[in-house]
Amino acid sequence: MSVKKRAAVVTAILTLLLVLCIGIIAYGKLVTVSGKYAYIYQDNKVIQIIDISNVSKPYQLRIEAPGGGYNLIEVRQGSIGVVEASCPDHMCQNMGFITNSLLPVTCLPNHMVITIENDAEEPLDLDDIAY
Amino acid sequence: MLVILTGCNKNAENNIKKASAMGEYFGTVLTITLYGADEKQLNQLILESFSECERMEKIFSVRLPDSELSVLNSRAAREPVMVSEELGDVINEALYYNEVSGGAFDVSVGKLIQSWGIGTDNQRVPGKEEISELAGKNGCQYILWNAEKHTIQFTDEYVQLDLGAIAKGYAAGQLKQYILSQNNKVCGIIDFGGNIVTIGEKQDGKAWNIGVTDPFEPSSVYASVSVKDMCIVTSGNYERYFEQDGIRYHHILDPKTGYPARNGIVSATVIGADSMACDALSTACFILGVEKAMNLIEKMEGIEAVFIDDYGQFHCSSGMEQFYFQKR
Repeated sequence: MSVKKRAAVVTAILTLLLVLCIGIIAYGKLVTVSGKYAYIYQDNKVIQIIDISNVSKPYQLRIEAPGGGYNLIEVRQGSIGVVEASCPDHMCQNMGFITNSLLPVTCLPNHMVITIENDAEEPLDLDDIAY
Repeated sequence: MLVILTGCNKNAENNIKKASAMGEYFGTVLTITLYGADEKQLNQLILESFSECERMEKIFSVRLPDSELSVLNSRAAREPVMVSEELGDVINEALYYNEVSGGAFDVSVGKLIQSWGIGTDNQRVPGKEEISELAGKNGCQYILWNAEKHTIQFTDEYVQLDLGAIAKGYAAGQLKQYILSQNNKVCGIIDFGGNIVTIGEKQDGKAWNIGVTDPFEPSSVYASVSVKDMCIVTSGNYERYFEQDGIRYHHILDPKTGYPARNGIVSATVIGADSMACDALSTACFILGVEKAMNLIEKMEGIEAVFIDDYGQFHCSSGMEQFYFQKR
């Protein structure tokens, strides 16, 4: 085999290996399930964990507060928020729908906090949010 | 007290550990996130910081009937009241920001705040007469500070101090000092109800990227800044408010009119090294409106700001580029 042919074969093998490696990495990323979970806390205890990465149809759930109040929570694909609450300030509602771990939804009168955690550890380009 | 430990993890590459927890203080949520070598110590530092915060709340809170501030409010119209060094310092700082802001920042409006009751079961739009009576009788000129005796006296019975626009800033700054006094190698973020205090730089030496909430859609980010060892405080009309007859009544009251401030700014973000200064100035700027607020910020050394106006346009102070302000 001539030097030219040998070089061509080596180049072809290396190219094939490179394509194979890229394919394996891409496939690995595709099959990784990026779970995004909302944690609902009440008085320092997790009372519900909701997978918000697979919500085919939005739904609502009502969280009763120990003191008699309530928060009506709506779960959507990739986000969660409070749509109705008994608290006087309605700050939990004003917060809107959160989509990442940087902003929690808090309802201090009803001692309820919602946070989002992403088990895929998707890197966020922000470290915190001023509000 | 609500304390939630939100988890710890470590960066396997450089063995940096992270600890984070949130608690309820000053009527809001305090989240402390620290990075360092010793996970146990990080958690301990956070819990000690929460205790420190609880101590400060007993001084500055108007919600606690037996706080030092509440006792001062109940007595100072009748006689001079001796105050602790911390309370005296914060009140004096408040008087300074009242002066530099031409009266826009005013901690003497406690009765006006109570009258509106925004965020409480009793929120309402007070009558015009009631508002003009209360707004006309407030003012820091009625607060007498005696430096020698360390006393405060009110010369008008309508004066009630509410330090809600400055005490959180003071407390966050104190927490940072406390954490660094215990371990000056940690870095992290103190998030006091949206007031951000960054401790040092990130573990990898980079700046912290902090978002500024979109005042028109509070769960979204309007812009971002990059800072090291700085504080970012935003005052906006989108978090604490109620609506009546289609009008939004938010919690930042203009001491001159007695009504929620409507001078063209919907969000005022102030950046600087001093958390208390940023807290007071963000409120003052919100009340002043773009032009006067910018004049104030340009006079303050080491302070920068960005204001978002009623139309969604932003206005940056002259030195803002050092923080890589980016509209999103």
